[in-house]
Amino acid sequence: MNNKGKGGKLKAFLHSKIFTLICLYIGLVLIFTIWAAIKGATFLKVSTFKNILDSVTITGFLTIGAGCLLIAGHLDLAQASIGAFGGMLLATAIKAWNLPWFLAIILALALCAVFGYVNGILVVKLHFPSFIGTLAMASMVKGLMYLFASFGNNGVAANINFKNDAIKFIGRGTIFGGFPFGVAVLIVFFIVFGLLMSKSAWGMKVTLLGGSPVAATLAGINANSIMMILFVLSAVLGGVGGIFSAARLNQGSLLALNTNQFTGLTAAILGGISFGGGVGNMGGAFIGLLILNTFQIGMGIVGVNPFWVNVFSGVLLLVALSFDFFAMLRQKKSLAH
Amino acid sequence: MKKQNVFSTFAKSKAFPLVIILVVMTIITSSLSKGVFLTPNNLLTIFYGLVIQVVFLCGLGMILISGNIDLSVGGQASLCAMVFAWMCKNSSMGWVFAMLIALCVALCCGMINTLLVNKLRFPSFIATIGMSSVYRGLCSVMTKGENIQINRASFLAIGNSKLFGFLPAGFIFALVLLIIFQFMLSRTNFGRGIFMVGGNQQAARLAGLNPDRVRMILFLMSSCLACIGGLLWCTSSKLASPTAIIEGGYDMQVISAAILGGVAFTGGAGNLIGALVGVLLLNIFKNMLIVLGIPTYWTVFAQGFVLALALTLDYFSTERRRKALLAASAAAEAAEAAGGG
Repeated sequence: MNNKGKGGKLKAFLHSKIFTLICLYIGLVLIFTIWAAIKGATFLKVSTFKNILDSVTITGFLTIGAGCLLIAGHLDLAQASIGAFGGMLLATAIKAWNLPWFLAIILALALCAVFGYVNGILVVKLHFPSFIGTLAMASMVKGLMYLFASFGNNGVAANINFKNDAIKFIGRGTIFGGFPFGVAVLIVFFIVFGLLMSKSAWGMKVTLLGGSPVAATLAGINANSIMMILFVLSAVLGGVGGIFSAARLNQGSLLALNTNQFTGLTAAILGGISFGGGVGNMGGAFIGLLILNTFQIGMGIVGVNPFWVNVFSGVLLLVALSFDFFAMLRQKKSLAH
Repeated sequence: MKKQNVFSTFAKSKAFPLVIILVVMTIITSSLSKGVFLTPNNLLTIFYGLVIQVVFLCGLGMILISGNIDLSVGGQASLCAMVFAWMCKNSSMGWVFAMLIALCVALCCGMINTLLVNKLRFPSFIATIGMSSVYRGLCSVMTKGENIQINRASFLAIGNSKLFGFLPAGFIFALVLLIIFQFMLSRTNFGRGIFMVGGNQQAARLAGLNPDRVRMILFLMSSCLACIGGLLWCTSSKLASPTAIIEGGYDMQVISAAILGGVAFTGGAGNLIGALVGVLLLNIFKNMLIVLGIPTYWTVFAQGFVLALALTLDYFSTERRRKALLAASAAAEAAEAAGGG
């Protein structure tokens, strides 16, 4: 009996999306190992995976926010801009206003939350389609980022370098003898949000809302308040990513997260969160993120022209969407039978 | 009699308040700028900046009316411009031939967008966002991020020529294009088809229209117009840049302007002339910020703000229309009930 139950669990795992994703990831690693060997480089070494984890740290927070929002059927294209703003504000607060580091972080996250709230108002109250509302917000936040950059730089909008030991630890510090602090925080965040989304009643509500907003509303779920929370969450997590990025460089950069507008979204879709909402979990999103970053680092190791990375980031988004499309098609067919 | 009629329809149209705002804004700017604004040089700068936007507007306006969106217009324009400049630099072919090749590239881009939206059923915004990043990447791959100077004197001469000695030919060309497309939109069967597909796709299909075909033609047209816009941009800047057109954010500006000018974001309503007024308004606003010496980052902020404002106005006007329709149908029902009783 017990055995049978275990077998059933194993079978379910073999049929789950996560298993497919893990296979995909192993396949990707194999391809890069062989490709790198042909080119005379080595892919399978510790420093490669350290680099991958390093690059995952910043975009991971974006992925959590984008993933939660996507499960509810919306998307936030302002996330990267808000993150860049958060990093810049941190730099300005420390350099120009001489705030202690924790106040600077709280201030940065609070302002990011305000932007998320505005996003929520645009989409929930004024019924803008989320992509265009957040696209407008992205431009506004970027303008404000330049403004705050000029506060810290005597009126000239430029990168701000700052020095602070606590912030330096956040960016480059290690705990438990060599484990990067940022990665540890990211893993904690992934576990917390993973449990929240798949085990808690609130997460259930979010999933239901993404699957069918009308049914969810009829079931007595307050869709508006949940959407508001999700937009604020996405913005705050963007801000956390921006703070980690600024902490690593010890610099509030005007170009921070510049290429990451769709990274969170792509990773989430790659990780099996359905574009229409209602399906997906954080574990998948994490593997999606690993796939994305391994791909980028691998391309660097085998020596592909870095300008191609831009091309591939678009192609990957579309490939992820196609996977999603074909999965939906299969589901529809199996439902029809 | 006829004249008054035209005037009253104009006064009722969505563009009318915009024209008033435009006039007021012009007066304010010219009085605040101490004579800088209304100089021929400044006006010419505005017109040069407008050319690429007006050309984009023709394609994007129609796509918006059909209920879709194309966010890859800027990327396509740069890619075509880069291909054109690359051909001119690295081969001895005539520039007309290079232009044709650039147009072919544009058609390929349009075809890919169409396939993603029609066959794989991606929402048009995400498909074109993804492709935009692909086009942008291809531009930098071509020259590793370098600009290409354009070395064909006759091409530059034609692009920079002036009618009657002062009207920039590019701007006139863009206006003529706009008028042609507006005529097509409002006077031909195809134009009416665009409105139907945008208003109610199901009804359009039942009426015998093929929404996929309409979408395909619109995407191809928009790509060709993006190519033309990119080439016109080359003539005024005398080079092709892999990033400048995309970073100029022209497609976003054109979308904001079109919505401001009365094109419904959800499709089914609007016209290009109103959208043109929106573009004029946006550019005069931008010029006002520059002339008044306001730091450039406020321009970036204003860009997003104007888009949000336009969408808000669009939302309220749609809401009003919906309420009016509901009230009308309720009144009709009540009248019917009273008649029946």
